[in-house]
Amino acid sequence: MSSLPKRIIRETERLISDPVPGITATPHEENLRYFDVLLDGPSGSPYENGVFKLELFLPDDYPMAPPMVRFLTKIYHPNIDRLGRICLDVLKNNWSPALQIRTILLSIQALLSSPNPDDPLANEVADEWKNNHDKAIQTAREWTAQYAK
Amino acid sequence: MGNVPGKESNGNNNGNGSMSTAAFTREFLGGDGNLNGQITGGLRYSSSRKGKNFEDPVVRQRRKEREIQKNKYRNKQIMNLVVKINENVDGGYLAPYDCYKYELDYETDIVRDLIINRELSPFFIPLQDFNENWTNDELINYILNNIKLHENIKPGDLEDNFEDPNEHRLHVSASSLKRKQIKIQKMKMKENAAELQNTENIKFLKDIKNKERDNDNNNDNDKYLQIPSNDLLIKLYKDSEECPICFLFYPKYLNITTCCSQPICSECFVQMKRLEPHFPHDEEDNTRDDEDKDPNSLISEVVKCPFCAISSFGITYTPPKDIRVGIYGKCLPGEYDSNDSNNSDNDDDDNDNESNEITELDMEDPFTKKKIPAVNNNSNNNNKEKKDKSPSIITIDQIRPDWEQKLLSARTKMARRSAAATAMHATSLLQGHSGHNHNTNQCPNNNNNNNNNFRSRGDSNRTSGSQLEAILIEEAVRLSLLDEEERKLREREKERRRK
Ligand SMILES: [Zn+2]
Ligand SMILES: [Zn+2]
Repeated sequence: MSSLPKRIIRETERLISDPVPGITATPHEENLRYFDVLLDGPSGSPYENGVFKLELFLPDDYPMAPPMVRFLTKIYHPNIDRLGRICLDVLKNNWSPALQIRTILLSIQALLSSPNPDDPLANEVADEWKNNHDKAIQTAREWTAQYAK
Repeated sequence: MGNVPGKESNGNNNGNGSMSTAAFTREFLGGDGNLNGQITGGLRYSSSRKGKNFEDPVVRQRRKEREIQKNKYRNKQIMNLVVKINENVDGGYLAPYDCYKYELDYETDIVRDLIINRELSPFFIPLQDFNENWTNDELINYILNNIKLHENIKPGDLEDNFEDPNEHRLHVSASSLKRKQIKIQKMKMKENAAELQNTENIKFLKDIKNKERDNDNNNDNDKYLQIPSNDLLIKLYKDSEECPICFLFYPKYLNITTCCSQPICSECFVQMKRLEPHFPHDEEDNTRDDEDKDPNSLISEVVKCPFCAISSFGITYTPPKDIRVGIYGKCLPGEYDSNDSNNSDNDDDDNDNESNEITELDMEDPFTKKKIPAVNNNSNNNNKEKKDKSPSIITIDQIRPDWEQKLLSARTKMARRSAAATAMHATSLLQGHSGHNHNTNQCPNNNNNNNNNFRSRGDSNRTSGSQLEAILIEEAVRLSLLDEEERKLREREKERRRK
C-alpha cells in the first residue's frame, strides 16, 4: 500500500474541520481510503428525519476515477437498487477529477430530494413512482421510518 | 459459454451440397472451429492462425517480430517514465514525479517532445506545503530539506493491479500463458526502471546537499550544473500555485485550460483519458446482454474539461520568458542567476558577444551533455518564430492517439463474440435439423435453454439452411468490413509514427 496522496489527506481534513451540514464522513483507521458516511434525509422529501448509512471507497486511481459509493441503509428510491447501488451520472461517465468527496455526497443528497424515475436503477420502484406516485412516496416514508434510524 | 458444439460430425449431415456450416464457420472465423479459443484468444491472431501445428513459418516469423516490437515499445514507455536529472526544461522534468507504478499509458515520446518544445508545462517537482508569507530563506530552507527528484519507490508499488482471472485455472490456455509471460517481462522492466530512478534520486539528493556545502566553502560549482541554483528555485517556487486536482503546489507556470482558464499540472493532465468504449447512456439497457447489442453503436467519448465539462477540452502552456534553462535553453539550471539577463528571452536582440555562455544541447539527441554554442545558427531564428507563434492547444487525444484503435478493437471483439454466438446458434440448429427430419423448421426443445445466448435475429423457429448461411455471410461481411477498417487505421498510425 503506497502512502496517501496529499489530495486525499486534504479532503479528509476539510471534511472533518468544515463538515457539510447533514453529512458526516469518517475514514477508517486501518484504511484511510474507506469512509463511513452518515447522510440526513433532506427536509421536504420522504426521507426527511431519516439518517442513512453509506460506504465510500476511494480507488487507487482516485481522483482520476470516481469514488465508489453505496447505501448500506435500505432505501426506497427509483435510482437506488436493492444492493444500495446508486445511479448517478457523476459517479459514472460524468465524473470529473475536479469533483470531490463532498460534492459527490451533496449530489447524492440532492438525488434524494429529486428522484429521476425516467433513468431508473430499480425498475419496480420507478414504475410505482410514475404510476402510483402517492403510494411510492408513502412507501419511501415508511421505509425511512423503519430502516433509517 | 459452456456448450460448444462439435466441429465436423454435424456439418456432414447437412447434405444440401453447399459448404458445411462447421467448415464455413472455420473459414470465416479463421480458426480451428474451437469457438471458445476464438472468443478468448484475442483478435489479432485469429485471422491468420490455421491451427498451431500448421503455422506458416513466415507468419510465425512475422508474429515473433511483432512481439519483439511490442516489447521494445513497452520498455521504452516504462523507461521514459524515469525522471532524469539531466533531462530538464524550464526547471521541470520530462517524466512525472509520482506515477511510479509505471502503468501510465500516454505516449511518452509525444509528451517529452511537447515539453522540450515548451508546448506543455514540464513535470515540476511538487511541494507538499507552501506558505506565501515565507521569506526567501524560509522557502529555500523548506525546498532543500523536502524536495526529491521523484517520489520514493517502495517495495510492492510495482505489483500489477491487473489479475488475470484465468491464471489460477487448472487448464492454462496459450493466451493465458502468454499474458503471464508478458507480466513477468513487464515486471523486469519496471524493476530496471525503479533501480535507475533510485540511482537518480540518490544522486540528486547528494548533489543538492554537496552543493550547499561547497557553496559555503566558495568552491567551484561546475560539478552541479544540472542541479537548480537557489536563484532558480526561488524564482520558480516564490509564488507557487496549487493544482486544483492534486492539491500539490507547483511553480505558477502550469498548463491553462483554454475553455475556462484553470491551471492544471502536467502530472494530472497525462493521467486523464477517455473512458473505455461503451454504449451510449440512453441505450444502456440492463435487460439485454451486451452480446445482443450492435457493436457499431459502441462509442468512445472525448475527455471533457474537468472544471467546466465542455467537450472541446484543451490546454496551453506559456513558457516563462525569464527562465530559459535546460534542453534548448540558454543555460543549465545550476547556472541560472536572477541578476543575469542571459537566462531570459528578453535580450534576444542583443548580439552574440556573450554567446559562448549560451549553451544549447544537441538538436538530434537533446540528452547528450555535449554543449553547442549557439553562434549564428538557425536555432535563434527558430526561437523567434516560436516566440511569435501563439501557443498551441494540446488535447488528451494528442497524447493518447490510440483511442480510435481501442474503439475499433472493442467493436471487432464484440462482433467476433456475437459471430461466435451466431455460429453456435447455427450449428445447434443444424443439429436439430438432422435429428428431427420430420420437423425441419423447429428448433428442438433441448436447445431451448441456450436460446438466450443466441442473437435474436436468428429467429430459431423459422430458420432454414439457406437462411442460416445468409446469417453467416452477413456476419462474415461485417467482420471483414471491421478488419478492413482496422487495417486502414493501422496504416494511418504507421504513417503518423513515420513522421
Ligand atoms: Zn495536479
Ligand atoms: Zn473548462
